[in-house]
This record gives sequence, structure tokens and C-alpha cells, in this order.
Amino acid sequence: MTPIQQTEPRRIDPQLLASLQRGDEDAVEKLYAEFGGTVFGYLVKTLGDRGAAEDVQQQVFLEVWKRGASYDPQRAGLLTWIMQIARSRAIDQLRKRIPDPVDIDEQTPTDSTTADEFTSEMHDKWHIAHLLKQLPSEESDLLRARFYEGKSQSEIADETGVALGTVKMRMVSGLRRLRELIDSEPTHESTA
Amino acid sequence: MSDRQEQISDYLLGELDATARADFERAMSADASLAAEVRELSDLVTTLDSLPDEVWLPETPPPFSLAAARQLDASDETRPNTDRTQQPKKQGRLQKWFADSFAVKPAVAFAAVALFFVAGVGVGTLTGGSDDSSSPLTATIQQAQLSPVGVDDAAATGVADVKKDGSVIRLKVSGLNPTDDDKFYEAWLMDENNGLVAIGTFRVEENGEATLDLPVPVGTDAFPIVDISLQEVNGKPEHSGVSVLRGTLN
Repeated sequence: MTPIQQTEPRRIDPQLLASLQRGDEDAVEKLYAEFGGTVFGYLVKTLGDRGAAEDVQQQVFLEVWKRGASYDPQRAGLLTWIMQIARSRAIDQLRKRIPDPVDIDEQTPTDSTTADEFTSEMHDKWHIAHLLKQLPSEESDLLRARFYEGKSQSEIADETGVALGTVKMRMVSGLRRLRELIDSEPTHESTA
Repeated sequence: MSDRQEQISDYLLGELDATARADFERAMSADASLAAEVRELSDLVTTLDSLPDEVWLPETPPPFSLAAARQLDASDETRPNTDRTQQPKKQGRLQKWFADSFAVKPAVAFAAVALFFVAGVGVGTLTGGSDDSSSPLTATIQQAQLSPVGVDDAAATGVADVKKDGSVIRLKVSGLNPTDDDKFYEAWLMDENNGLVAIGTFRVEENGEATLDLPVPVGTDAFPIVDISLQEVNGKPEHSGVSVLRGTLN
């Protein structure tokens, strides 16, 4: 996994923060709208069971609401904080049950990777997934074409009609911007 | 400057030939800041290369209700822990809560048909409504042409392409009636015994079109029929019985 630098978490909307700390239900709904998809994707992949993921999803955001008053933006960005709650509840869920008899794919927990390690690895990957959504579309589309669809820069240029030099410039700027987002929203809470 | 940017990109993505690569590495050895940046971005490239496909296919989360979550939370506190002896659930308790909380009698005669409900999770992956033909996934390995089932959407048509290693279906539909706030469409995979697996939900705007990438939780050889139903927002996870499009994967 990419080493993550510990830098200042990104700024959080002060009104949303105050609302969360007061325990307003509206705050949880806003957080759900922003982070619900990322958390759910992470839980489905980690638990390998969509039904269980739905239940844990509810637990996660209930806990977000319950613990909102104690959330400290100096220690972690909202994404980091919510994903760590999700990771904890996913681990709880995996520890509760017997080994899953469903053959999902090679990335599910195996004898050689503990459930905790797998859960952590997926946590970090979905954290990045959420940050990818925050890139400008021309950069996120480019990264998707390269890293999901496996296309070369020349293929991307041919298919999109964007000049090859521009594709390469955007590739670097997209990577840089994603790197900055990761640095500003580390995957783990600061212990300072 | 732009040449240097292009070289960085080519180097990171392994698109330099041996000579150019050696030249670039010599340039890095003479420029510590360049070397540091490339190293940092190289770590990120490695990470992006290792992301599972699902990361790139955004999930549509289930509806969230603080009241439902509280009720589930309360029931957890009073329930003996028997999970160690249970198989993984195919249907979330959230779904059951919604079904119990919004008990609506089946209004559709089609319900008489004995649909065996395998994993009726009414949530799928919605990637947007635009026609994304400029960024196709990898090759189609199975395809179903979808035809209208009833008369209400007689002009509707669609195609379902199974992509990648069978883990994704790209669904393209057109000619569907726009959905009101109280209705939505749901995509299903069905086996020959009418067993159903829900794979995703979506709405349709005035243009009647939608394009979605849906994760495939079951084998399409066993569940070869693609069915699109019109669902009411009533908390009931079952197939409504109102199919609008259907086709069989070849």
C-alpha cells in the first residue's frame, strides 16, 4: 500500500460539523449522501455478503450519529473517521460468523491473509476510491481508462480524440492531485 | 517542461522504450526533486494498479433510515448471539425491517406466479445515465437483447452485455416510461425455475434512457435471463410482478 503522509486533514464544512456534533439527523443524512456509496462498496467487498453489508451499513451510520459529538476534525477527516468506523464494524461482523462457504473471488480472506488484514487492505483501497471521485472528471475518466480498463495512453488518445500530449499531461496532473488528496486525508487517524 | 511531464507519465506507466527509459533514469539520478516526485507517484501507480474492479464501479447504497437503524440496534442488544452457527445471510435485516414496516398487500396478479426469491436485495451499482460508449469495458462475453414484456412500455428496448470476467453487466435501455418519485426500475437475473437475483435499481428521466454497470453476484450460466421490472417505492424488496423488458443471455 502507498505510504500515507500525515498532514492536516482537509477543511470540513463548519455548519455540517456543528450539526453533526449537535446530533442533528440532517447531518447524518448529508454524510450518508456523500459517503454512503463508498462505505457500502467497501462493506460489500469486505463481507462478501450484500445482505450483511446492508445491515452493517446501518450500524455504521447509526454510530456516526451517536459518536458525532466526540468527532475531532483535528485528528481525522470525515472520510477517515467514517471509514474507520466501517472497518471496525466489518471486523466485528467477520469475527461473528463461521468461514464463508461462498467462493467469492481471490481477494476475499484466505488462510494466508487474516480477515483483519483483508479488511484493512480493502479499507485503504475504498478510501482512495472516494478520493478518486473528487478529481476533475477529465482526470478521473483518464485514470479509470488506464487503471480499470487497462488502456494505453495512445489508445485513450485515439478513442477520446484528445491529443496524446494532453493525455500524458492530464495523467500526471491527475496522479499529483490524487496524491495531494491522499496526503490531506490520510487513511488513519492522527495520534497527535 | 511539457516534454518532461510526458516523460514522467510514460515512465510511470511503463511506456518508454529501453533507451528512453535509461535516459530518463539518468535524468532522475541528476535531479533529486524529480526522482522524489517520480518515486512518490510510482507508489500511487502501484496502488491504482492493485485496486479491485469494484472500486471503479460505484455502489448505490441502500436507503438509510435512522429509525430503522435504531430498531435494528435495539434488537441486536436483546438477541442472543447465534451468528457463529448461522450461514451468511442472503437478505439483510434492513430489508426485512422495511418489508415488515410497510406491509402492503401484493397488488399485482402476477404474484400468483411462484417466483422463488433467491436474494432479493433491491440495490445495485448505478454508474450514471449517460451512454458511455466512448469508454467501453473489456469485451462482451455474453449478450441479451431485451424486448418489451407488456403493452405499457411497448417502445422499450435494451441490451445487456456481460463484461470482463463475467463480473459486470452493462445494461443499456431506451424507450422506457420516465419514473415518478414513487416508482423505479429494477434489474434482475432469473433462472429457468423463476429464481430471481436483484442486481440493481435505477430511474429513467424524460429521455427514457439509462446506461448502468451492474455487478453480477451469481453465474449467468445458471441465471441467464435478464429481467427489468417496474417497482413501487413501498419498502417491499420482492419483484413487483410487473416486468417491462426481458431477454436471455446467449
